[in-house]
Amino acid sequence: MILAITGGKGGVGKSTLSVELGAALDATVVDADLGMADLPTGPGPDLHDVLAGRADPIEAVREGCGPVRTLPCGRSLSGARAADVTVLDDVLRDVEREYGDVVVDCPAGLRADAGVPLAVADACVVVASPRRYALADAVRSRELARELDAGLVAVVINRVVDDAPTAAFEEALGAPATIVPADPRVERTLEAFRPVVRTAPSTRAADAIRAVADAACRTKRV
Amino acid sequence: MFQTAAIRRVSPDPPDAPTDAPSARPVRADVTTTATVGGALVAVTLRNDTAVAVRVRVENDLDGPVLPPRREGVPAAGWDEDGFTGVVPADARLGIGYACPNVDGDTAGPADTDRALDPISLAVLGPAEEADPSASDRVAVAVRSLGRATPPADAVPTSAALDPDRTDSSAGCRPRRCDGPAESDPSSVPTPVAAWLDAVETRVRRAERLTDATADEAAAVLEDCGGADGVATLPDELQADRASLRAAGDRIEDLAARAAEADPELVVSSLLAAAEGDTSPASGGESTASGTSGAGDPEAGR
Repeated sequence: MILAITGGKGGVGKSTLSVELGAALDATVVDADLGMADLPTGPGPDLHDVLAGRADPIEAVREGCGPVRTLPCGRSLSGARAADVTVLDDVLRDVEREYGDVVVDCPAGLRADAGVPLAVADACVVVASPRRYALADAVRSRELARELDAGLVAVVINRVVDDAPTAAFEEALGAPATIVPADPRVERTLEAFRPVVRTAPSTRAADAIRAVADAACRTKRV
Repeated sequence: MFQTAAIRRVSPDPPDAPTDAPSARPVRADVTTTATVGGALVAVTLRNDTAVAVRVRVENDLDGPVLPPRREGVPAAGWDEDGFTGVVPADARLGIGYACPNVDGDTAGPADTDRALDPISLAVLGPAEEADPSASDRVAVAVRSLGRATPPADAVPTSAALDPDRTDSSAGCRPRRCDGPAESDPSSVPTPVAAWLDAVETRVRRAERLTDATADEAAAVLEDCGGADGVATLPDELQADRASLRAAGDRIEDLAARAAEADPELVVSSLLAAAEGDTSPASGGESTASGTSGAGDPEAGR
């Protein structure tokens, strides 16, 4: 299964949730944010090289370098210019064939680099922050996913401190909303590259992430 | 800019087919071929006189590849490298068009368009049914409709990225090349070499723009070069450039390797020291003093 993590607005926690879900599903996390990558990278070919035809998708996957298998993305502008997003289809399918489930961390916005992962994905998770203004972006992402035939697994309302407008989100998006409470350990997931579903599995945040992962698994079985 | 050599209407159906039996030919095509410099523009009007939508296949029969209409670099829906597959709605017309450059380099002239062969072949595939778009179709739709999010090109021009077409005749006397600072910089390329490279780059850039170019792109190049005469000699010049570049590249590589190997510093300094030793007695105390300080403590003399 190819699961796209999308959400319109930047900074709502798409990359963090991608790593968490990648750990929960034992999937390969692909950082498809070609312009502003987030996932830790290192020496070796990355997604820019793969999309420019300079590297094989499988050789760009980092295995055993951390708790989650990743296909990181380069940080350079020239790499982003050279990357052909239309090739992403074949790349994601190659990775899925070799390693099984794939979680795609989509970029913010509604351009082709955000749309192509949704066009390829079997299902998607829409991430939003618990603010009123975030709902509009979540709805736009949801509409794009619907047009491109990526079924919605769940809406994640991320970093909830008090009461979240869950009912409003569920009504507008037509899907159950999962609340991930604000947790400093989740904030450090990317920085330390330690997903809480592994390091703190009994927290409420980890429970919520596992619930989303279970929903994705149920979609896969259907 | 376009030279319309011939416009001609042809019907892709066999001439012996009955013209008054729409049921035998549910879709008819009017084809207009416009010859331009370097190729042909083919416009096809597909007419469906029946009451059902019909799926058709239009294939190019001209001698050359199909350059389909594109959006965001992706061919428009229904186009592939041989032609077009699409649905003509019931009782309606559908207009499509493509460009076909001549592979052999001939200019499409009247002889080309007057020949008996039709420019396209039309096949009716049957009534249209709702097809589930494949994933690759959805990717193309996403790119076409959403637009690529590529970062803009470098904002600050480098010497390699300067607009080549502006440097045709004045490659050697552009201000940044003639300025003193450019020449005093040891890492910059000497002016005559840079001028030659710029001229070559202009030709290569043009050749690149004409490689697999659409009719519009080719026409734009022609306009920049002042007509067909401007590019007539381009293939030969490019051939010569290839040879010169290869020769220069080999020589540069060879010289760079030799320059990296060679290390004259030690011998030169000892020669200089010896020369100073020879001349010092004849040129008096001042020279001796400076020679002594230079040999004993190089930093002190500077």
